[in-house]
Amino acid sequence: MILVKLIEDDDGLGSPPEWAAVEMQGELETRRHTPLERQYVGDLFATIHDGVPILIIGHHILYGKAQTFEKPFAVMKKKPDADEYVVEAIVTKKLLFKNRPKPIIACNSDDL
Amino acid sequence: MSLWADKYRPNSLQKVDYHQDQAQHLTNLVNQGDFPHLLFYGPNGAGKKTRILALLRQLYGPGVERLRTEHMNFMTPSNKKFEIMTVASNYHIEVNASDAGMYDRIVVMELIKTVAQTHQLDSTKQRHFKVILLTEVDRLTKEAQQALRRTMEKYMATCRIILCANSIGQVIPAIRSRCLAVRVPAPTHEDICKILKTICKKEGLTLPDELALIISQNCERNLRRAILMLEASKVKQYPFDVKQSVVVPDWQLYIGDTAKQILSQQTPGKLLEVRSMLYELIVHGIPTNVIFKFLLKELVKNCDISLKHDIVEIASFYEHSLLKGNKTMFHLEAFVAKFMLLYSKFMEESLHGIF
Amino acid sequence: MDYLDPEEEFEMMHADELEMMNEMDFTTDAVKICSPKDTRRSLKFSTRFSSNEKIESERSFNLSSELNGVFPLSQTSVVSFNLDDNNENEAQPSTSASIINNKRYLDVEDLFGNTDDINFEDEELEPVLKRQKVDPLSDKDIKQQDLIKKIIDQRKKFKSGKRSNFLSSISYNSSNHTQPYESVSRRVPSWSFFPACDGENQRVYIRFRSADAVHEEISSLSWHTKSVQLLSDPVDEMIARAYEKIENNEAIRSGVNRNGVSILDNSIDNTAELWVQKYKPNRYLDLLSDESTNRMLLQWLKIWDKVVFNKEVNKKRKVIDVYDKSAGNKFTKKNQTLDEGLDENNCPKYKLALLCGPPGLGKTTLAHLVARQAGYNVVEMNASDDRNLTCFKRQLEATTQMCSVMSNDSRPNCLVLDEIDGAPVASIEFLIKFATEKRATRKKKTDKKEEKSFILKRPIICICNDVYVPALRNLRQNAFVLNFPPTSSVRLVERLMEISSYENIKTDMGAMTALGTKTNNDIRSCLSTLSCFRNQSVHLSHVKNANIGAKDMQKGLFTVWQEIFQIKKSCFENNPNSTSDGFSSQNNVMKDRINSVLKTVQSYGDYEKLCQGIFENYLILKPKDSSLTNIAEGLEWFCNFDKMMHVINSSQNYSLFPYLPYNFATWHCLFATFTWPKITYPSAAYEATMKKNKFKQIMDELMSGIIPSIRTFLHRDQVLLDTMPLLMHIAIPNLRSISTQLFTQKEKEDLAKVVNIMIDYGLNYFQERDADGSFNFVLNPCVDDAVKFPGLETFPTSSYATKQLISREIELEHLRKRMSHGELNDIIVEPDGLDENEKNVSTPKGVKGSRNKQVTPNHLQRLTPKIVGSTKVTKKKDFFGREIDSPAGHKHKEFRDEIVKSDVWFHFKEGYSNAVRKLVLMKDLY
Repeated sequence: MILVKLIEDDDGLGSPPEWAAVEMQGELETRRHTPLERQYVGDLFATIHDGVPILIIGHHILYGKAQTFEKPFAVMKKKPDADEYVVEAIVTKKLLFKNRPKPIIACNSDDL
Repeated sequence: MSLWADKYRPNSLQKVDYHQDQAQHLTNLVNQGDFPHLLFYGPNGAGKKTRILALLRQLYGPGVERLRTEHMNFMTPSNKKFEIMTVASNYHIEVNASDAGMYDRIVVMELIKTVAQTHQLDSTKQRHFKVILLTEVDRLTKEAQQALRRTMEKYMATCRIILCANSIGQVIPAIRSRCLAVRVPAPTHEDICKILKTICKKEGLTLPDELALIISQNCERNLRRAILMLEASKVKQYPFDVKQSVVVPDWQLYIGDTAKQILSQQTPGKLLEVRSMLYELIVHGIPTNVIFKFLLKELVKNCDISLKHDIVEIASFYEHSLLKGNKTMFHLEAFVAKFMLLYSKFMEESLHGIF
Repeated sequence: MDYLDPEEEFEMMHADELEMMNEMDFTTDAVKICSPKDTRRSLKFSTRFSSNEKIESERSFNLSSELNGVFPLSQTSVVSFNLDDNNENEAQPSTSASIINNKRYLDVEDLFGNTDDINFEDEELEPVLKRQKVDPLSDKDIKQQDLIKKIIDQRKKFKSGKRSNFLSSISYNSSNHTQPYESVSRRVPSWSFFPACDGENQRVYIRFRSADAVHEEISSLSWHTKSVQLLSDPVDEMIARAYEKIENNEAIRSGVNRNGVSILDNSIDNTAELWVQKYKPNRYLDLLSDESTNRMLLQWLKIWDKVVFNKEVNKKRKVIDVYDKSAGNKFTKKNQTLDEGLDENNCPKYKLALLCGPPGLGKTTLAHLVARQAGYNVVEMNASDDRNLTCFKRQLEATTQMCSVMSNDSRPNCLVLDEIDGAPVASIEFLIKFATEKRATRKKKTDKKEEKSFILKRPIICICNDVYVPALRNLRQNAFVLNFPPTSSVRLVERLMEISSYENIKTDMGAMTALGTKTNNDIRSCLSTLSCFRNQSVHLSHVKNANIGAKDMQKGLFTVWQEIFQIKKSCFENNPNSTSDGFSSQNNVMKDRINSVLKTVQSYGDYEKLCQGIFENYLILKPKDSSLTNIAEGLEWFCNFDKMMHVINSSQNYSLFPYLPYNFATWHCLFATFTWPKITYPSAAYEATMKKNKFKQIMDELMSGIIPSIRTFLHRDQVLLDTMPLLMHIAIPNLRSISTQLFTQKEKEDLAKVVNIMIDYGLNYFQERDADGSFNFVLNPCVDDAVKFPGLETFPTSSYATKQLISREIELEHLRKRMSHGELNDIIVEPDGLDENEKNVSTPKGVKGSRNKQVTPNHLQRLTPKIVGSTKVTKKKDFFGREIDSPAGHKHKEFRDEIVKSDVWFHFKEGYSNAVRKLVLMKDLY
């Protein structure tokens, strides 16, 4: 179950921008069944903690790892009428979160 | 809502009914700060355990009364596992090491080490030491006692040891010197009567004085037994009658029966019967020194004064030889046979003297 | 010229002679003739061939003497030697008719001697000769004529010096003149010669011989010279010696004196053979053991004939008298009746035989002999072999299923398992299983294929000393048990007398009888003792005083007890063990008694068991006097014994050990009577220990069930002595048998109190089914059993209804207590519903600090996945599994969460995603 999300990583002009894919094992759902577009999902910290990317969705925190594709993917957009495709971006690496999400607990410091 | 013996047990040093000055000394000891190792000794039913628990309560507060039973596992050097039951609260742990039989030394060492190495959690409010209560110390093997004395010294900082024994003679002098010995003597008859009366008053019963006296005389100055006997008599018959027969533990009756048999006839056949009765007693687990004591008491009751000396002498001789041997039956029977011999000779001579 | 091997040459030369020799073998004849003369009791130690050897050579000499003169024969000494050899090797019985054959046959050979080296043109002569041996008496005359003619012809040819025959030339050359030399040569020889020319003009050199030499030669060929002889010694001497030998043998045989022992050459003293081996019976008739026993074993073995040899068992045998009445001793064990029935495989009912008896009776000898007699080859397996299960199995299967291929012995095997009471139990079990296997194939329920198991088709004889060893218990039931009665003293003594007279030991019946009793009729032991008295005289005093020959015999347990409790009458008789000369005085008798008791006890060894037996039995047996003095004194010794044993066992110091038997001696002096004591095996101590353990266990259970707050105040002893007995009296509520609602306040209080007491002490009533089906409430743990004493009036017990009531109340009380714990916890948790989820989740962190009241106890927590903004909340459950309604309004709380920022939540799905790859083409997308 791959859900490809795109994050822009501005590289330079001319060449298409480089994007990274975020791969998770599961589904994203909304609580109140609103459509998923343009919703704030969560926070992604890709570079901290010795290269271990962290994704925080709601109460959950996921730890993942960065992998590069052997064959990079290209994001293409079809030109509406012609049989042409425009490369929007190139995806070379992905952040894989395949571990079970861990819950985040509110820490009451005076109790502990 | 339990047995009177449990219900009316005093739980603080101020509330004990007899030996109050001793209780006062103990309270002072607690209050003064540092606390030595203690060795309580005295006959059964004198109140040693009661006082120890009261002492603990004085030390640590009522939290010491929340007890739980735990099973501790030990491993012997020969890779044998065995289990010991302990009673513990947050502040102390009580164990009867002689339950382990041969391995009591390991119990003593391991237990004290484990307990001594964990410090108290909250060091401000409470004492800095924990208490280890060892019961029936006089039944520990000599090796265990030697191990104990070393451990006592080593872990003095974090734990205190309270020992409880019946007779101090069995405790090696090294331990005796490391402890403060507290002798809890058996209550006097007056004490016992007084206590019985108090209990009856609390229960709302009337107890005639004579009955109280009879009970206290029958109980061997063992307060627990006295209270139990009182309760049993009450269940048997209330309102109390002065003349009623006091309920006595069964084995006492049985020993009485045995003595009767011995006195009735002195022949080998009778000896055989007596042997089977003695076997019954041994099988039920009655300790042999108790058998000897009671048997002697019953036999001596019916003997002439000139005989008493001899009988007591042979009784003590055979009890001593029993301790040196393994098979209790041999020695018991030897005692009975000797007694029969003496007694029959005496009877013959006295009969002869008559004619 | 090629020379043959001397042996081959000789064979060829003397083939006829050799064959003749073979047929002349009458050695076994001689044996058969002699044997019936021997008495039953004699021992036959002569080898089969010693007496016949010389007779044989005599015969052979006769032959050769008739033969010689015609032809110089070579290797005469070799002839005689080989002849003897052949005779000894051959064991073929021959009929007496062959002697006559030989006689006739000799005629031809007599005339012409060895005719082998004559080359007959037609070589049928040899086969003819041979044929003549096979067909005796018939057309022999005709053949002889032909033969004679041919022989004469050939001789003539030879005499003419023709060397046409390779064989004859060879034989001539190797024929043993006194000095082998050549007479004719083709080259220039070294001797004096005379040249000549032969027919083909070839130069030939002929030897010169002096006239004297020729004369010598001629004379040497004569009949009467000694130079040509087949034998090394002159004939006369040999004949003389042979006659001497015959006489000797006759003397030997008739010199079988009235005791029936044949005397061998005494000069063979240095053979150093054990007498036990030397005088081992070689024949069935020589056995020393009881005849009926022997016969029974033989009979049992004969039953096997059907399956092993396929011989019909003779059913006409009379019924064997099993019970050995001859001994007259009432203690003789009765042997099993021999069931001659066969089972479906034609094997006897009992495939194993078990011989048992004390050592030195002749069991092993009997087994071997009987088996050999019945035609088996005996394979023995005894205590010196490895008898673990694998080796045993292997050996068993090898012996019973296979037979030897290398040796010529085609007899079936019979397995003798000696000293089987020392074999490991596993092996014995295997043996039994192996023997009692009935069907040839066994189908295992699990396997589809049939397992082929072997049935035992060969007899197995087991030998043991003590049949009551526990390892043999199973074996006893599945085997034919033969108890060996002790050797009869009469026969033993007779045999000893034979042997001693044979070995030149002067002795008398009395000494031998004493020896027999001293060793308890053990023949092996007697012989060993006797062998120490080589060439001396043995008198009664020697026997008694000798400290050799006394065995350290271990007697059975009951025997030892009997000895202690009974004064043996034989003490007044001639006791071999007594040190006196037979005169008994009171002191001596006592000393003897004590000594014998000491010895017996010491050889038994297990003092504790002996002591226990004496302790339990001494009061039962009627003592000498009914006064208690002896008893009291005996008991003192018991105490003494106990103390010593304790010291020995605890300190492992065995220096006191030798003093222990003296206790037994004292008890013997105190308690022994003349009457035969009836001893019972001491079991009371063991039973008492068992019961004690049982009660101890009950007490242990009780102690562990008491609640801690009371338990701290109690010792086990106090519980046993004080609390429990009186508690039984106390814990009886005084209730009327009516419904609970109708109880008065007092009764309710009473009941409550009893229930509390019981809970405190961990007691309860449980319903149990009786033997007769009725229900009964039993106290658990069974304290009332532990506390009750027989013969006393027991404490009052409540009625069935009361017990039931109490039991129910106790259960309820338990429940209430538990619930109160559980409810307490629920109340603690509920107020803060906010943190419910967190609390759920916080379990993995561990509950540290029990002061946190908000933490739910472990058993009430549920771990749920953390769902952000979930509507579903796990229901809190209490102890009974009932859900506790959480306060409503959860859904509104979501937004109050600080952590949750967005509406989206992630639903994790377990599993692997690496397998599913679907090819998607672009055209599918549009």
